[in-house]
Amino acid sequence: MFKEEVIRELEQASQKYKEEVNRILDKVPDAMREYETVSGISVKPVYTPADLAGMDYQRDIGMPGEYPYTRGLFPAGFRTRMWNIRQVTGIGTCEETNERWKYLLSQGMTALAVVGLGGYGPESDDERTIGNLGKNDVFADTLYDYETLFDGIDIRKIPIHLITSGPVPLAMYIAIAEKRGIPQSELRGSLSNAVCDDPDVLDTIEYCAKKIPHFNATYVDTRNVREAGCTAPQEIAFGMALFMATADEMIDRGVSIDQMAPRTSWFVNAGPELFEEVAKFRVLRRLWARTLRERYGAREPRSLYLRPHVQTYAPTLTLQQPFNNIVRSTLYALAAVLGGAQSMSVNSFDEPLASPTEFSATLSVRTQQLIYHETGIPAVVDPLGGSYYVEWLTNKLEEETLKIIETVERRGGAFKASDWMVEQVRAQAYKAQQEIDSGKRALVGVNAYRDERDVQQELIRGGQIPLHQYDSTIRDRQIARLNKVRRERDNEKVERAKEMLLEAYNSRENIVPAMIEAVKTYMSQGEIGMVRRKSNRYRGKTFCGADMLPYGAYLWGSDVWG
Amino acid sequence: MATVTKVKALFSRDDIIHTRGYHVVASALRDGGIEVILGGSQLPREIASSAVDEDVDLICYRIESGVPTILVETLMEELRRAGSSDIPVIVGGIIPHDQFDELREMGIKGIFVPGSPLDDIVKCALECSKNK
Repeated sequence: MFKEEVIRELEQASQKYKEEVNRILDKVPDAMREYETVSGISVKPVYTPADLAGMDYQRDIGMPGEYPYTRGLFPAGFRTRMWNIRQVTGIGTCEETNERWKYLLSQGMTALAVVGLGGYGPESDDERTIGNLGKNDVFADTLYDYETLFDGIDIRKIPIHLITSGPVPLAMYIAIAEKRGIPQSELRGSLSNAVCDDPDVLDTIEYCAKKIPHFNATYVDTRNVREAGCTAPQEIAFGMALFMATADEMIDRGVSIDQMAPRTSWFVNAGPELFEEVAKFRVLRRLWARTLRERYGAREPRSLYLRPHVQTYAPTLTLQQPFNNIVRSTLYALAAVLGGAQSMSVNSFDEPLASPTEFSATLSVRTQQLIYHETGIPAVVDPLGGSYYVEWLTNKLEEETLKIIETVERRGGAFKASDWMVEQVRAQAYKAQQEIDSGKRALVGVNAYRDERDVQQELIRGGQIPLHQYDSTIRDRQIARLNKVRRERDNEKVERAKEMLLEAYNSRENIVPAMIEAVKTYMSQGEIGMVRRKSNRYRGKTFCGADMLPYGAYLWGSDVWG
Repeated sequence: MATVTKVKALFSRDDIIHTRGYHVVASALRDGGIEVILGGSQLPREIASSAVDEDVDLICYRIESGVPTILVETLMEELRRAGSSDIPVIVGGIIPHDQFDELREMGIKGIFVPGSPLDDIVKCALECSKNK
């Protein structure tokens, strides 16, 4: 990008600058002599074209909307369309969540995401739901609950995302669409069907790739891997490695890369270390485009688009001085917008204390609206592109990422290397906590600028800012909903559907068609789970450490590997 | 060197989803010299029965999704029924401040919320298991 003589001259100037800076730093006792990003990358006080020697603008950066998409997927960026505001929502029964959705839509939320819904049960009257049903997410037993959830919601117009995994929620969603006369060929939406080696997850991807061309069923959830503790390059590398292991599996099942890749969505974190996070989005797009074209020979242009949905980082949200979390999450959201996020959920300030209220969830919507309308950032695509520092960091992050991908591949790919990956993630999480405990890294309100009285918490404890209160009647109301379904459905039909589902499981055919028929009889998720447990498919307590599959990515939290 | 008996703790949690804090605390307890048995996601009834089977000196219970007072009340009842009320219990996670008193009345020996230094948790774990 720069002439050789410019670089040579700069190298001399940089040497002189370095001596000068060191002289100054030496004089100031508490100066920041060394700095490492949260991912452990050492950074210098300044970057120049000399740090970008050998870089080629067309090859490595390019224009927005052009390969390798470092600067973004769309030529005009946010000038044509704002990112989607898609706050995670899930509370009580489907009635409460539907109500919350409608409220947030009225406040300018533009896409819907629902957390909870379960997968294989338990049923609401099981002892496992005591003290938690509907507290942190929404609960569903049958199609009746899904009908309530989507009541008055136009699923043709509003982008829908289900934060759950596997064929059960997919089948429920298809059944809802069918009732509304929407054929599978036109059905849109997405599912947190996080890539992993579970056959139910793979069946879901395969079915959608072949039958529901506009539904995003391949989900690379690397946000929760970051959440569990890893670094930025690990976040990219583990996501890529998991995708590649899944793609290889799908190709074996006869799904082409161009059928699968365009319907892949990435779930990415945005957290502390603003510039590193911006660089991360740039690496993700570039590495994805190159990998899909060079390694998989993708031909479809959309196969090369990495479309990140973002949720801001939660482990640094503090219980102490909780209103600081508004500022914190705003900075994280800023990084995501500067990095070119496609859609986003901003965590609410009260989440270390309870589930978000209407008040706090609306503030998260406002945070995004404010960044869009009041900062001028959306006017320019990839505004930090061309910053010597950000371009250097993008290259550095990519280099680190490639090393990790190579290690995973040496260990036999993501599915075989999962225990090693989990170890890496947990070790990083422990190290990060030790850095906070020792004061090496500041966390405002916790190990720095503590307020023993904590006037912010006083506001909450005094009830001036109410928290979400758990309503213990929710469980009884949900059980009443389930009992109503049990009374009103055709139970003979349900029993026949159970036999067919068991047969489909045992015959190793794709489970989705039988699942659609099963949910249409108002068979409960708990009953589906029981059928699955009786089948050959059931492998015992899988990676979730329980007999259910709500979110594939939570293999990061599993105890299967100790 | 004299033989030192290690403190043995059962460490369980209420849900299957986010477990960063759970594993971080488990590492700290291990580094603090405690033998940690990871119970994973367990119901109060299952926790009590594992604690008895494993003959532990301490129960650590991570609560995030559930209502602490409801879960802890059941756990304490199950321990009483098993004749093991002497096993100390500490809890951590998303514990609402207005439930602290009730939890202490139920016999909880330590409550840890986000922001608690690991050393404090380890110290409390060692101290209350000594008094068993």
